[in-house]
Amino acid sequence: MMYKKIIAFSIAIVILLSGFNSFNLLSAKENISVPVYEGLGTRNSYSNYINNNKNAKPASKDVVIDCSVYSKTDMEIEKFTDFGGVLGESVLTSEEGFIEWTFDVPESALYNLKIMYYPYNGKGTNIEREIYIDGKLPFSECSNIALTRLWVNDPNGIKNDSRGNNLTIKQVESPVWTESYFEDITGAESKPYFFYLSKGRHIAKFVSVKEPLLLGKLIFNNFSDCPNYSNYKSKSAPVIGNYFYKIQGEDSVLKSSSTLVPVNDRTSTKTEPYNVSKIRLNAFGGIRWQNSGEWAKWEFEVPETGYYKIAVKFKQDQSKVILPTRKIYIDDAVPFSEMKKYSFKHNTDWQIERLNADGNDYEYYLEKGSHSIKMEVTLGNYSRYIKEIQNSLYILNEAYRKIVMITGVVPDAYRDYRIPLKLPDILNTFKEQSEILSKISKNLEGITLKAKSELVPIDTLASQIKDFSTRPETIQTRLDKFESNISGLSGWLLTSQKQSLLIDYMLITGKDNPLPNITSSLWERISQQMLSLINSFFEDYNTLDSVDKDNTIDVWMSSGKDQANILKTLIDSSFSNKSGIGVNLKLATGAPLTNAIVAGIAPDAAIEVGNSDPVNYALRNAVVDLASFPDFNTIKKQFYESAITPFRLNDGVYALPERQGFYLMFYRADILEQMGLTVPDTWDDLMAVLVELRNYNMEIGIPAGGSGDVMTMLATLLYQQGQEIYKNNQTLTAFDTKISLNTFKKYTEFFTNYGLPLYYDSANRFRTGEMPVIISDYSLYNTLSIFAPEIKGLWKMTGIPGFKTKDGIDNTVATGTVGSIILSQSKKQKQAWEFIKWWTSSDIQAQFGKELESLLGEAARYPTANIAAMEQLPWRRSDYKILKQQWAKCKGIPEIPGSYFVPRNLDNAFRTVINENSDAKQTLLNYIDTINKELESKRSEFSLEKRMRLQ
Amino acid sequence: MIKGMISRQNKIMKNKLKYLFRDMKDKKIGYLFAAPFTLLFLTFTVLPVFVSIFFSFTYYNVLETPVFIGLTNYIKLFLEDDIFIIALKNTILFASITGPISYIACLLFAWLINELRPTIRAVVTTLLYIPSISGSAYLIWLIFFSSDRYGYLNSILLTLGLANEPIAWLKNPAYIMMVIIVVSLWLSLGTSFLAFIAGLQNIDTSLYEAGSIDGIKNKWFQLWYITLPVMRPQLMFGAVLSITASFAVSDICVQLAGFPSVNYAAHTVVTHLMDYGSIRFEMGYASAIATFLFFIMIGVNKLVKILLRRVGE
Repeated sequence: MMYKKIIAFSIAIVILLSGFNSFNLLSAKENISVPVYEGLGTRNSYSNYINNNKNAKPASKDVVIDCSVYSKTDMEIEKFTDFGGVLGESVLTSEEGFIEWTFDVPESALYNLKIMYYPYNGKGTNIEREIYIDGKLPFSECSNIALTRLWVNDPNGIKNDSRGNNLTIKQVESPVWTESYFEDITGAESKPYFFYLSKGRHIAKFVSVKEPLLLGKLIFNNFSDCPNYSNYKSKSAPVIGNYFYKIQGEDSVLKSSSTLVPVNDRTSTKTEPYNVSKIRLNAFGGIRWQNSGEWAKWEFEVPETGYYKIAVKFKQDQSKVILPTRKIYIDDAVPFSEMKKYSFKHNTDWQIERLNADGNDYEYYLEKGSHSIKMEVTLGNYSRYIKEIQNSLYILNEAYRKIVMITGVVPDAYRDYRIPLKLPDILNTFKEQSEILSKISKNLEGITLKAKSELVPIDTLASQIKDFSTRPETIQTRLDKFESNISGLSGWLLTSQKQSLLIDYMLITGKDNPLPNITSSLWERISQQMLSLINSFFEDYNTLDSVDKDNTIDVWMSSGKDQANILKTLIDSSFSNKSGIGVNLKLATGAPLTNAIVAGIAPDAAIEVGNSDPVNYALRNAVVDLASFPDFNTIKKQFYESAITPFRLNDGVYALPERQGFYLMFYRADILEQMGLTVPDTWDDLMAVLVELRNYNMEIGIPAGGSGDVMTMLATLLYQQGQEIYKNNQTLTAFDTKISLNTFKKYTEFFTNYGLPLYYDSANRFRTGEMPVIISDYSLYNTLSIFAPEIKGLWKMTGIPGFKTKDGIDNTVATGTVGSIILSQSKKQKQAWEFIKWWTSSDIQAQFGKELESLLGEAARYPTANIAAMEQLPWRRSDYKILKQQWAKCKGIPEIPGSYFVPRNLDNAFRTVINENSDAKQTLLNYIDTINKELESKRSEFSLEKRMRLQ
Repeated sequence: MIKGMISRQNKIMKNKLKYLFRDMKDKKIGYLFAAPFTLLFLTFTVLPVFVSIFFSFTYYNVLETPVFIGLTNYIKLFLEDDIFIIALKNTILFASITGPISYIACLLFAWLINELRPTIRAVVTTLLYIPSISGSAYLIWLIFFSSDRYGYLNSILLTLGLANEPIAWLKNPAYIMMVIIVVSLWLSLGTSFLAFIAGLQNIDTSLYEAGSIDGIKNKWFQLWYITLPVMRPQLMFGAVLSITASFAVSDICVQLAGFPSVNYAAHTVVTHLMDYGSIRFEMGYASAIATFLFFIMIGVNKLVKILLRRVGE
């Protein structure tokens, strides 16, 4: 009786209290004042800067800073005299730190900045610096000075594989002293950036972001602009009547990036050179040549001085709205202002045209001798629109976030949130942005004419927010549509900025020379199609084999053709000729390895093998114990122990690590700062941040949705508390300890009590700011840097939160590895060992990573497991440090017989708790039984106890 | 006397064989025509069945030589393996819902479409048949049933106020089977549907005339007494297809619910087999499961044959 009373009483109190609570919460929410944001537009942009200084006159005198005479620095500096044959002093700045110069300015004026630099040997990516004048960023664009490196095709020429296909040609650096103005690569400004410098003494500071840089001089001067076409033509010279010079696109002599490689085109029989079945590198550019600032240069000759015409054979089948645009230089100078932005029309077929304005061909004045033509990707006229849309997107994202702060992401359709009252500016914002977007859409339509349908994402969003401004009461019911319209436009913006242009050849002609016919006849097309169909039965592009059969090993890899191509080139250039071992590289995707082992036709080695496979094969004696090789102990020092852990069984190691992945925490610095929150470094802090964010209906992302996530997260949490996953000599799970049970409970509570979302698209929610803090695999870094340009510089990454221990915070993270194995069936195990040693070595891993990135772009950054190799990959130094700190704290999850059963049952336990609200500890205990039973049965299957005793 | 009988029997046997060979020689063209299929059928269908039955009596970890272990696998299958019971339950549930419904739906749609004009019929047939020929197109259902708040179904439910938070359609055992059944019904207007249409078009219209003279008054009578009995071969064909399809369901489960699915909610006999075969490398046990499934299918086929015999009676 007594008990019942007590229970009844306490229930009554709980009910009362919870009533109060929710009441309090409600009223608290009503009174929330939404923090004020500063949009991208109001930040310290160049357009504001130049507006503030529009009365200043252009400079008439030059200010030259000799970089070797610096006033202050915190990095190790190396000085050179007459480096690279160019007279003068120069200074080598490293990839981290700053350097300052003091200089005197003779008159208050606007100056352009010319940098004289040498792309000193580094990691092969663009050199990035920030420039501060008198300790301040003059305008935000100053945080991104990108200086290009110079690349040429491998001077040894194009090589063939044994079947006669051209292999991708390697790009090698060919640095020379370069002078470059600091300008807007997107082409929004027609002149380089101006700096306003008052008369007197100033300090210029360069802060390193990426890559070392050898600096000669900094010159502040007035950039002399090119004339327009009518002035250009005023020079008197004969118009050449008959001349014909063909420049093949693939023969470009210099380019700004190693991604600009000759490519294979087989869409037309007229592409030169053409082969019906073999791969020929016969064109230049395409999707590899689409980002602002990337340029390539070609050389040609003319026999006499005069006016010539230039024609280009190109293919532009990608963009109908934002036409790919190029800035065209002749002999490193833009000849006339129309060449600052020349757009190429859309057509699904190859086109040839003389560079012209409305049908009137441009004529170029060329003196007798050799010349160069350079084409640089620029957004030209479109740049303005793109910037405006980006700005709009930022403002609308912010508006969305503000609304969400009041309504939550799933607003109650029947409640009056009084949005216009609480956010007095928002209706105006909507109206303004709608007008801006509609105007952009109209202007773009004017340019592109028939492609109205391509502008739908702009129009949809514009009309929706216009409607919002007149009918604010509908906002809450249309919020998710609003969000998807915003992402739609972001996606559109991303794709339409791509400026891809494929060039077959260029022609320098006289005015009378006709253009060649570039359309193949029907008969040609049919016969070529038939031939290529027939050939497709005989051509095997998936095997990149070598010729010498006796000393040759078979290697299988499971990723794509591009990776195979790179690896094959590497093998040819730095493995086979040194070791004398040939390699047959085969692409074998899926899981055919097991079948091949059963059939007795397994390769000698396999690379890119998943985390759990090596031990699984080892249990069945299908792979070689690498620890038995005498030099294994020196080899394994290249990796963290965490990378090797999953490949260990008893005393053996059955694979060498290649790639390693682990969690990092990503956060929106802008949002946290506006809300006055610090970056959490413990789980308790994280939850405190969550509570704050929750007040504004924002979330935190903790992995749990994917099937492996539960295991990895739980292992991470346990490792942080000094707890292992397996006990009893790796025979039983250690999940039944008190710590484990509590941790599991805590982990499930993130989702049950705190109500964190289980399933979400991290990149998207991070971008909108709905989830300003996300724990995710570090590959999200690559995704974000490509996918979310509008929040560039607003987010950071850091180590994951941890638990407080005696010696500070332990933020160990569990990790997974991909590795290379040697099959026991192989009769050439020694050679195979040489190969996988070579493949996992730091130089090769770094080179592979760099080449992969140069081929596929930044999104394909290679997560190598080799410690020294990672350092050579082109990470920003500050990011690399964070990555490295977390990496050193990685801990591998061991694989044991039957361990496939662990993640599966943890996942089941987790979902049972979430779905059925059952008691976390009890549920986990039930599943532990199942796991342990399976582990035991697997052990007895392999009679491991017996085997171990025998050893 | 006995000896004489034996020798006589031998003689008969020898004669029989002789006759057989002579017969074969006479009709060698026919045998020649049948040979390619017979060979392929033997190597790729009959042989694997026997190999699988053989392996089911062994311990075979794929990479090492099999060891004979008698009935151990079967004992484990029926007496120890809890998950197999779940898988069996799921499969039977799935088969008994999608099998009949899809079969009847095929028949009904075929019957309805048959009444349309030929051009419209062609269009509608294509439309209904498209889902089953377009490979993994059913993956678009992943967006519809996405567990994210922005998944179509969740989004609709949330906007209408029918749900308060996103429902994990494919991660919550309460819904997984339902989703899979819905998707496979969408896919089910497949080959048997085409067979039915063909069957319907082959029916001699004079039968209907005769029927109406004999007093058949409405379409339902026509269907039951004339249409269905006439197209019994197609019905049998359709039934076999839909039985095998629904008992061997696995792809949809793996693609939609993941492998293994949460708490084995979408575990079927075939995914159980895959689990043992490819993840645990216990091919002997997997073969036992396959053998069991084989006999279940034969049994159900026999049952359906008996049922179909009663059509039109």
